Order: sequence, then structure tokens, then C-alpha cells
Amino acid sequence: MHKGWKQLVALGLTMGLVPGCSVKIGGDEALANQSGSTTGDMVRANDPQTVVKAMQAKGYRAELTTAGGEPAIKSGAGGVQFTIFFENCTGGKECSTVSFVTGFTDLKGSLEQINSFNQSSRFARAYIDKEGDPVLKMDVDLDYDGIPAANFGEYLDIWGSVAPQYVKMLRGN
Amino acid sequence: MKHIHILSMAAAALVATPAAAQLVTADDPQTLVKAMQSEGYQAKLDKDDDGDPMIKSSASGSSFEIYFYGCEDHKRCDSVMFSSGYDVEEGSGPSLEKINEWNNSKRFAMAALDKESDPWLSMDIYAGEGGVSQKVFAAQLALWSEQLGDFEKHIGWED
Repeated sequence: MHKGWKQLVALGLTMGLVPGCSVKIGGDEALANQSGSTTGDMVRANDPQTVVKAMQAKGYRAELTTAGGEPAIKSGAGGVQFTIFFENCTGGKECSTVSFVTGFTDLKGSLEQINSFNQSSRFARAYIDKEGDPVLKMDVDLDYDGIPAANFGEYLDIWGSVAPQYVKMLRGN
Repeated sequence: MKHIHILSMAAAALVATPAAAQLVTADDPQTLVKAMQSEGYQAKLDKDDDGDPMIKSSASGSSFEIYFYGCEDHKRCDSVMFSSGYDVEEGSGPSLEKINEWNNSKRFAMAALDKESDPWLSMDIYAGEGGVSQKVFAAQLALWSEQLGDFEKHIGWED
């Protein structure tokens, strides 16, 4: 049973959900990071500018704004607009996690389609919200010292691959 | 036993450099094993059906697995997936509405039904060469442990 599940997921991976070629580049930076200070080039939810910088360094738009009194960053990947919401904040600051979110009011999906998408997708999960609109969400823990910028870059790449696939599936309806 | 001991020594030698910044990386499954054990979880390193590393553990009274992904020759993996599946009798499992409700209201852990309508919970972490700090890994492990219990309540699982 596990095997079947894994094969489904592995298929998703070979379809390019996790680009492998950028790993090496990230790895060098990350290794350099390991020997240096723990805060250099780290992406932390308690400092939204570190997220903005990591996004810009990879060529993504990063508009820092607020949503419900907490930081949020508007961006886009592969033609899909999305927002990174900061979560687990105290008084609108000192956040510890983020959520990548994109939702659509003009596209529809059935629960069967959404479930089948989730079965073959990793990192991001799809659902239908209370208004009946399809949403895609990916959570990343950036607590404490955060994660190396190279690893955050990988999450961006994963999202940049999964979100357009999600839209493609919804548009097929 | 001896074999395992040698492996863990080799792993220790590899990650011995920065004592303060102990990182958990998918590249080195022993770093996960150690982090899990020090958080009070069992962690048995094994191989999955594809020959990639796999860790068997349990939380909230249920077993779960951690699968490694993005491996080259079953080594140098770059991400992991926490996974727990439930073999339910046909027709008695949770509905797609119930699964969607979970994905709509929870974070990090994703629910899905497989082709046999058996429910699964999974959580992915990217932990390539830079890895994640032990603190972040411990936080995600605690979250997973909590979610596993919540999910079983959500789907009405009793074993």
C-alpha cells in the first residue's frame, strides 16, 4: 500500500515537481552558510525582508504588504499570482511560519479532481474553500534561525512548478 | 547491530564540524534518526521498496514512515515525506468532503484518499544540503505528531 502511494508521488517528482538541477548551486551556498554565522543568508519568518530578498534574488516580484495586520508578500510564478502570508505571529510581528497561497474565483474543480491532484503532488495541498473556490496552499516553517536561502529557493521552485500545474488542471474543466 | 554502529560513527564524523549548528539533512538519514530519538521518538532506519532510505517511527499510538526523495543511487536525497496510511474497510472510510475539510482547516499535513479510498496523511519537508536546524525539525515533528492524532479523530479511525 505504501509502495503504491509512493509510486504515485515519485511520478509527480519525475514530472518535475522538484527541480534537481538547482540543488547543487543551493548546496554550495548552504555549505558556506554552515561554517559561517547562523543568521547569514537565512530566511526567517520573523524578518519578512529576508523572504523578500530571497525572492528577488531568484527574480521573483516581492511586494511586501499586510493582510489582517500581519505581513504578506504578493508575487507571481509561472503566470500564477500568489501571496505568501506570515503566520503564527505575535502582535503582527515575530511570525514563525509562512503559507504560499493562491485561489481562484473564476475556476472550478470537483472534490475528485482536487483529491487526485493531492495524491500526486507533494508540498502543496489543494482544497475547495467554504465559498466553493479552489485553493492551493503550501506551508513552510521558518521559525528560529530560519532556513538557508538556498533551501527557501527550492520551495519557491517547487511552488513555481506546482501552482501552474494546478491551474492547468482547473482550466481543463 | 555492528553494521549500524559503524554507519552511525561514519555519519557522526561527517557532521561533526559545526557543533552549534547541527543540521538535519535528507542527505544524511542519521541526522533525522538522531533528532527524532533525542525528541523522544523511536526511529528505525530501513529501506523502502525502491531501495531509498526510510525511517519507521510512531506517534500518538500510530506508526508512521518517513520516505526520502530526490535521491541519487539511493543516497544524497534532498527531501522527506512523513506518511501514514489507514487501511479501512470498503465503504467505511472518510468521504472526500471530510478529507477536503481537513485540507481546508489544517496546515502542513495534507490528507488524501488513494485509489482504494484509504485515507492518508502526509507532510513534506525540503531538507537538501543546507538542511534545516534541529529546532525547526523538532517543531515539525511535534506538529506531525499532533496532527496524526487529530487526523485519526477526524476520520474516526479506531484500531
